[in-house]
Amino acid sequence: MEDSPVLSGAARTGSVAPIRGWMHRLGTALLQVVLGVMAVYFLLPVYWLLVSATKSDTALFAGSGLWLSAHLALGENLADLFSQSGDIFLRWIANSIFYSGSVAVLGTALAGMTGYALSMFEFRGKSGILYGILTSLMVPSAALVVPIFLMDHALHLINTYWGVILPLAASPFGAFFMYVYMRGAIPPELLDAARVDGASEWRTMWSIVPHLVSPGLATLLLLLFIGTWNNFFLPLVVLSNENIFPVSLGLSVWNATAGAASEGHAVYSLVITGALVSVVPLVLLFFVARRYIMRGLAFGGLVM
Amino acid sequence: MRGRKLFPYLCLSPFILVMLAFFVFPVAYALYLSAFSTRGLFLSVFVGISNYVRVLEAASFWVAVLRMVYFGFIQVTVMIALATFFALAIDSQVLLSNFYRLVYFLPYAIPGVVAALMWGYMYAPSFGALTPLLSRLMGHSVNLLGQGVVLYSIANVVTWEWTGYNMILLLAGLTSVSPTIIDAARVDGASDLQISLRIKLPLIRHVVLLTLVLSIIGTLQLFSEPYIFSALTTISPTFSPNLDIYTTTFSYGNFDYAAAMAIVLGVVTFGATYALLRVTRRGAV
Repeated sequence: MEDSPVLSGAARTGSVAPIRGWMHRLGTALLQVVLGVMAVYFLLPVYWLLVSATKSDTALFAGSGLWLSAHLALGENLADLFSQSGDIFLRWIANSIFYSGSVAVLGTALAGMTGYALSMFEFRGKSGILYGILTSLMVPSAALVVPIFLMDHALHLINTYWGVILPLAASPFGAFFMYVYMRGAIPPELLDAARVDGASEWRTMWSIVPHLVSPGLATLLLLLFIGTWNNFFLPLVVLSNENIFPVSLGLSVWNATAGAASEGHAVYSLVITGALVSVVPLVLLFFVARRYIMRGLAFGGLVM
Repeated sequence: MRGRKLFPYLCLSPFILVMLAFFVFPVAYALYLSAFSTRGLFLSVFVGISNYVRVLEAASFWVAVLRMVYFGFIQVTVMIALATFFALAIDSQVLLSNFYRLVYFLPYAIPGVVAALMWGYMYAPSFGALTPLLSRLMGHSVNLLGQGVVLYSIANVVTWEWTGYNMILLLAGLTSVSPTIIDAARVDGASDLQISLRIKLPLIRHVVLLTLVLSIIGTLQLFSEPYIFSALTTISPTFSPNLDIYTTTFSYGNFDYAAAMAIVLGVVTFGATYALLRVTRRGAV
């Protein structure tokens, strides 16, 4: 079979051009249509969520599905949401921010120091530690959840904030990410120059490094924040006090009661409105920081 | 000078400490627990590997694993194919490519629980979102949460959630394709389609492999979606291996056996990943 895309001289000049042009344009148009349809698909649930959050309970079950009903009840739904059970929804959002922020900051700090040590120094045990980190990357995180629960239980961390934050801050991905990133971002000569000038290791690290690696640190902060916000299994297993639930766990509990109770209709409306509100912070963060996030994921992917 | 020798160790120690506490020790503790069996409240009997034998003989567990294999077969293939298609299309400067890249990636900002809730409610007949349309199309009433269909409904949710993420990874791989090759091909008269399929795709096959590996690992860990759906319709507590482990731990309080199950699941996942990487002739790193 002829493999080369090279066309004959006649084809290149023009006798074939009109036909190719017509087919090319049809193909491109079809592609646009397909991409457009897929965009609708990806936006559909968010659209449905928006529409449904504006409906009162009765309207929800009236079967109008994907379309707005006459009466826009978003205000009432939001009021219900935030006054439910003594403002617990607001607590849940605050909890999510606290969990995600803490894991992001703590995890990045740990990963940063680890990456720095691994990328800038040679020492005994270095390759062992690197292999250890790489191996841990291959361990499926969900298989760890029950063992972590057992460990939290042994350490009396069940039902505490730290029982969720500490396991998530120990991120082998973060450490490896920082290691590879710093190897590329920090010129060792800079460190040598500082040392020659008499700066201690500690001073060197803190004065020279931060501006060199701040994009990488910011990216890891974002990735850890998003990863923790979306994490469900670990909080589900570790927490039973609903006052320290993150918002996804709270919503799932409401959802479970909605399914069980015969008068669950009002609860469905709560879950839907709550889901909409819970999505807003991340989507906003997303829009603002999307380049960082995409580049961070890309870098992480290429690293592996 | 001594300060310098110690410094890397000082830097590493916090991380190592937390890793030991929440990674190494839990696994070791789980291994330890899995060798016991608790009769009554306090009596723990050493039973060696009999928990593992029980897992290997537990039909429901392996049915769950096979269910995930089947699920993965369909869902991962569709998802990676879609992600690759989107990545190639966006990379070939189609109109509005930035818009599409953002929209397809948007589900990444949505927690799995919320995605499962949104789709689950859309599937639910009582809300009348998708079912009237589909019922009219199919000519008979359709229940997307029904026993035979719910697996595919969940597959749809997972695809919706992760296609964009995989697309971003593939787009990153595409940025390393040298523009000179592309230009040369264009000069030779290759169409965009030919460039995408014949040149770009082979050059990013290692990224495609990465997305495959990540997706297979994810599939075997499936938990949130069936868990949320279990409040909306009938989902067997052993629907997925992780759901089984969760039920065993918290509904039955059988920590020792659950620990054995978790370890077996970890080994199976590790083994599948290793096998896949071996088959495609690349090292584990």
